[in-house]
Amino acid sequence: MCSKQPFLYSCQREWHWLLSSRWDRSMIFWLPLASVFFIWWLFAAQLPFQLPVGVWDEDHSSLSRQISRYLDATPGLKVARQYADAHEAEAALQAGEVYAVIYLPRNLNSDVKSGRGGHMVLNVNAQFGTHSGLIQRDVTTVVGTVSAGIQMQMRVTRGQPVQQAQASFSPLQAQNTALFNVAGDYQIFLGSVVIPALLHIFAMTAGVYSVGRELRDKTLGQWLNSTLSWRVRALALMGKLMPSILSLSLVSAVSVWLIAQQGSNNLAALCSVLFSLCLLVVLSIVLGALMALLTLSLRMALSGAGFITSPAFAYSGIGFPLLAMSSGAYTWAMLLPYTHHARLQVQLLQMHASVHFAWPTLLGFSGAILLLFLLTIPLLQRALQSPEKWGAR
Amino acid sequence: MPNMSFWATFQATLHAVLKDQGVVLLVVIAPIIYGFFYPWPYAKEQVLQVPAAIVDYDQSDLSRQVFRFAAANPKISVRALPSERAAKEALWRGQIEGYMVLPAGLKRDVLHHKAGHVAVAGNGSYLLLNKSVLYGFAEAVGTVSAGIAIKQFSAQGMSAEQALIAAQPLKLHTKAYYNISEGYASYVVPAVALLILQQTLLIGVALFVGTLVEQQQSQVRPSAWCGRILAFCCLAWLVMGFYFGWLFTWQDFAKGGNTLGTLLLIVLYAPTLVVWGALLGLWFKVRERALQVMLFSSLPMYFLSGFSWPSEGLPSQLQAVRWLIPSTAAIQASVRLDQMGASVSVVAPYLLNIALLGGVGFVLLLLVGRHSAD
Repeated sequence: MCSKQPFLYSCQREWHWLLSSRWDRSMIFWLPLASVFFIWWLFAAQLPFQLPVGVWDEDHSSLSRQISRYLDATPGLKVARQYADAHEAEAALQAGEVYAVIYLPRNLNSDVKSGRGGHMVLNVNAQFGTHSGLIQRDVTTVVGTVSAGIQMQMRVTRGQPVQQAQASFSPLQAQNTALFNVAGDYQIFLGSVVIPALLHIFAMTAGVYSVGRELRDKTLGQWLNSTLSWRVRALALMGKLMPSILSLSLVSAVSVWLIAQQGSNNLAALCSVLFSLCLLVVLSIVLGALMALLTLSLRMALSGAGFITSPAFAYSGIGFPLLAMSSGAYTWAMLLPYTHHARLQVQLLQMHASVHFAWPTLLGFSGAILLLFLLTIPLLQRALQSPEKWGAR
Repeated sequence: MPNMSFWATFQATLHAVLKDQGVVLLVVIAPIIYGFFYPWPYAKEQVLQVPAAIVDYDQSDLSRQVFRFAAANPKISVRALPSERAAKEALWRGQIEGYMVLPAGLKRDVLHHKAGHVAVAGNGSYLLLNKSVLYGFAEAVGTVSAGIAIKQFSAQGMSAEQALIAAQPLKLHTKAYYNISEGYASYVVPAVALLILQQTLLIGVALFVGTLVEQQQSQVRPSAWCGRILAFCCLAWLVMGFYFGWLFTWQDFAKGGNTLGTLLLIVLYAPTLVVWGALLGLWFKVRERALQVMLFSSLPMYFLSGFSWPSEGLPSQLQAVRWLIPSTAAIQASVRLDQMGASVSVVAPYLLNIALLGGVGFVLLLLVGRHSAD
């Protein structure tokens, strides 16, 4: 309860607690560190997915066999089974044995050869949205390729020169390039944004626990007394949160180092992302402390931390775009700090935008940290003055 | 407490749970709140009118035609920008999500029977936006391209109908099953719901049992453990009934409608979770520890479930491990039963997985949580 050097005293007090509590120590260092590596590993597979699809071939022609072959040769697909009738195909789809069944109807080949045009059907299980999207893309490409080949043959038989026919089977061609994100590099696309979402959860939990534990154990009075000036209280709180801040910033640095291993060598961008991530960590920790002092209950504050941080990824715009959200959900998304970090990281590391795009977020985070920290000081005084409320479970 | 009978513990536990705000909040109120809060961002289901730009260096009637078709496409909302540099800048500022470049000489190439190439660039960092942009532009270009091909075929003496077929001799029709509208919420929420139910119940039970450990009342006879488990199951079944009976229907998600199968899943899922929640509580030994430790775990479990992230893309070492988490099998079973209407025999392996986890957990619980006098 020293009023001299409140920062150092509080920092040491927290440090000694962490040394004595294996769980709390793990929660601010070992577990976050392990989950960073775990997520990175989870998205490490650079292999195509080879999603299982089925073929229901009624035509048994050279064309239908060619289509089957092309489907199987597509890296993202694997023709797992052939089906003999509608019943079998539908049952397989419903059982989830395959994610799609491609139907090649009788007379497909003769319809195409005679100029009547052939129709084939992709029956896809849209309940599995990601799988369905990938399959639709790949099957459309295969059909486009086969169709173009048929058209070219037709043009050549009608006397068009081969080269001209090649150029004009599709007079206008769209060449799709998914900008920035190297195709299929999910480690960067998903892994690198899931990691900050996890650190956000760990950081807010740490902030809640650091202050909330003293409330639960009725030890708040051992840490500080209620007669101290606001300046001493501010320094003491800073000292108390410092071990978590340093430890989680270290984990943040490790995570950015991992991202850098994936070939991103723009040092300024990496430094900005790391700076933003550290600010996000500090902001989350301060927000956690604020939540504990607001609710005066460790349990309620942890529930609150869960409410803010757990769905943050769903609201971030990474999976489902911000601009398609309802205005209420959009407002909530914009209030969540993680949304802003995710956007900054995507801009700098994936879209290679220049570093000055980071400024608004970095300034916003700094302002928010200052504001939230200033709010905690009077709340800390309120908590210190009402010892009858300590010990809430 | 240690010597209480099955029914006495059942009643005492129900009573204690309903008096404990913390447990009620986690086991009953939180899943109901999350049931509305989680789907909120996806309420609109479809991504339409994604802002995009066209850079037209050709300035011909052909390039203007492409622009008109793109502008008419509901997936994108198109504006004109003077240069590729300006388009990139707009992309960084988040004003557009993709752009198309119509190169100079495009019309001349097409007239000379050379293929005209237009470049379409979507922001690959956001999968759904990228898909809308690429498809929106591809459809516009495809339509104009087919129009040109039809004209070329007609010039060779084909009838309009023949030319139409010749331009695209093989057609693909896509039929979406179960989630017919291909909505995002209808795809994600029914699966995530099982994870929400798991996390809230695990944490709630662990919190309760952690409190019992603090009060040195955790160790009891097997019959008393059964009473505790049943008490929590009753609450969990009510909440799960609310999800499957009302919430999914109200949200208008696909309804495969194997109600009996879904009931069977719920009957197995709840006790498995309760048993493992109790084991976690015995391990954590402190009331609030479960909340502190478990909050982060939802996100990794979500990606391990093989639902939003295809399991085919997971490292091979994780293929077996992920089935140790009850939600993995529960999500696969629930989606098949409730959304796709599959039969119980189809999902039997998943149900067996959940039952096995529950059985193993139950034996462990009786061992770890036994009363020393027994």
